[in-house]
Amino acid sequence: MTQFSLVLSAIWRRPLRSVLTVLGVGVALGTFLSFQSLAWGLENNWSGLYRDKNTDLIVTQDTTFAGTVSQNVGDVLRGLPGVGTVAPLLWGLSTVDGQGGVPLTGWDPDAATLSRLTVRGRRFGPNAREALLGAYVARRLGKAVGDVVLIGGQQIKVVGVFTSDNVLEMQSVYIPLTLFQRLRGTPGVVGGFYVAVVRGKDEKATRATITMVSREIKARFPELATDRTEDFARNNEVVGLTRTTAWGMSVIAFVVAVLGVVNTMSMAVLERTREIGLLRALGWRRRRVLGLLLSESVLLTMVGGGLGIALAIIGLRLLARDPEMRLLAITGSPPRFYAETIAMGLVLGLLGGVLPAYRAARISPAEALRYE
Amino acid sequence: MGRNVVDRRADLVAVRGLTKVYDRGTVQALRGVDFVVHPGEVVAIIGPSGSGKSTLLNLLGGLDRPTSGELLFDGVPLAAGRDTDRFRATRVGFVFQTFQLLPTLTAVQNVQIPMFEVERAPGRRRAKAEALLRLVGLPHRMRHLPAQLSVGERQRVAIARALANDPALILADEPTGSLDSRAAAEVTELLGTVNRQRGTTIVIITHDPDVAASAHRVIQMRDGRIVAGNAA
Repeated sequence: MTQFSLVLSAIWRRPLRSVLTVLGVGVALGTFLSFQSLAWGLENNWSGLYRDKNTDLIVTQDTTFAGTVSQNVGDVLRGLPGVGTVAPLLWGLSTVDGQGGVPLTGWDPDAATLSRLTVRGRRFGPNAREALLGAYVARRLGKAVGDVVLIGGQQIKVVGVFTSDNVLEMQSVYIPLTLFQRLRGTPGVVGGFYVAVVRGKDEKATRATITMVSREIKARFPELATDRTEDFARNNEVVGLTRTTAWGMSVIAFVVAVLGVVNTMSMAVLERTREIGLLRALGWRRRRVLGLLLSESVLLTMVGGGLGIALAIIGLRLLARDPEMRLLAITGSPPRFYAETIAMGLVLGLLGGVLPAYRAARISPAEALRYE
Repeated sequence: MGRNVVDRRADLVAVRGLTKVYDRGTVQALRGVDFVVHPGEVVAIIGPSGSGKSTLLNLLGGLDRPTSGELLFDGVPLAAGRDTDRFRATRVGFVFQTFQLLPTLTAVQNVQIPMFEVERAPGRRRAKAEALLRLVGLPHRMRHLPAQLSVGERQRVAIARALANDPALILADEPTGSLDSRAAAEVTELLGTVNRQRGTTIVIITHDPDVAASAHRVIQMRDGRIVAGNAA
């Protein structure tokens, strides 16, 4: 018999309470993992919007594309040393066919972004009243190539339905930049520019060029925001809000779980007062009693952590069955999330068990043996 | 219980002026107790309820601390600062009236509990526990839970547990109090065997006149004092 077998025996002795504690911890840690994966998935898809377009720098008014930047800025940018391509765009959330909140982006027809897409139909012309629908938004609106959609009170013809690797992108509608400007009544104004630098002989050289171009743009246009692609996604308000919300929900779930474990272990110590007194009477040191109870607490929460991972994986995979929700899929989530979840299980066990275990170790053997 | 030869030249336990007060002075459980216990001795303590017997036993076993007075074990004070946990693990064994076995552990597992602080190897702990259960006459009950044992068998497991770390002193608080006469006689005889064969000193609280009669010495307590039988 080992001390670990004593731990198992104690947990086994109260099956209902042990199961409920594991479930509670599992739900809490599953919530943590799910929210972290959701936020990561969103951030990953968001940065993918820019990363996949071979974009190195993003120039905007205020880190969104809804600001007002003169289209002429693009000409200046193209003239800077080290700059390869400059793509102007305008972005906003619009009502399309009565459905609000649809991401709408205006592009030049020759933008590199559009050439990357797999299009059923064709791409739009430069000044045409035509649109490309992402596959998910097309499905939601029930539209196909040749149909007409209503955008900004204007009837726009759907000339193509596109798919891409990015879930967020497939929720979007693309129209010619000039059309978007007309719909807004803001000719010559864009939301920002995607800037790709001239490729260097290697990765290091390219990075150096990016740094140089970034510095140059900031010097020329200090009123504009110039961000590297990865920073832009990370600093995005929506992504930031999602990340903050995820952490906030996770903290709440964690605190509730800690309180649950404290309650479970406190009840266990109370019920086992006499047993703990006996162990002390038989020569067990305080630290051994402390270790016994902390081990019980940690074992429960680590099993809960494993359950939480399983619950999160199952839950997110169920969500991911809907293609539009695939950004939430856990597959591809960084391994550190799993490690963090297990670590949180350990911390949860220690935090939840330390106070009851400390109290147990301080019990006077004589008093405890008299306890009814 | 039988009589062992007692070495009266030495004191295993020496108590001088021992007092114990509870509840902020409202309860005086011991009022200046003086006595000694010699190695190999069996001392029975008798007295009515509330006379301080169990309090004295708790103090002798390091389960509690005296309010004042001196308690020496092997000539060393059992005072604050001494490692009383180590003392309880290695020098003292307890036998309780209600056995105090852990209900979800088998007999052989219960006997191993005191050994955790002394013996690291699980195999050696188990081997010793099995040997002790054979000593107390329970070789066929090693894997039984306490609920599967008779009351006499439970107390014998408790005695085996008390012997786990070869203590110099066994403190038994009414060990036959919950037993029928036959089981009580068996347990009394077993304690005597332990005393004779291993030289273990035994201090035993009892209301059983047979147990008292078989001790080397009987001490009578009343109202927190020793009133008779303290000649050592």
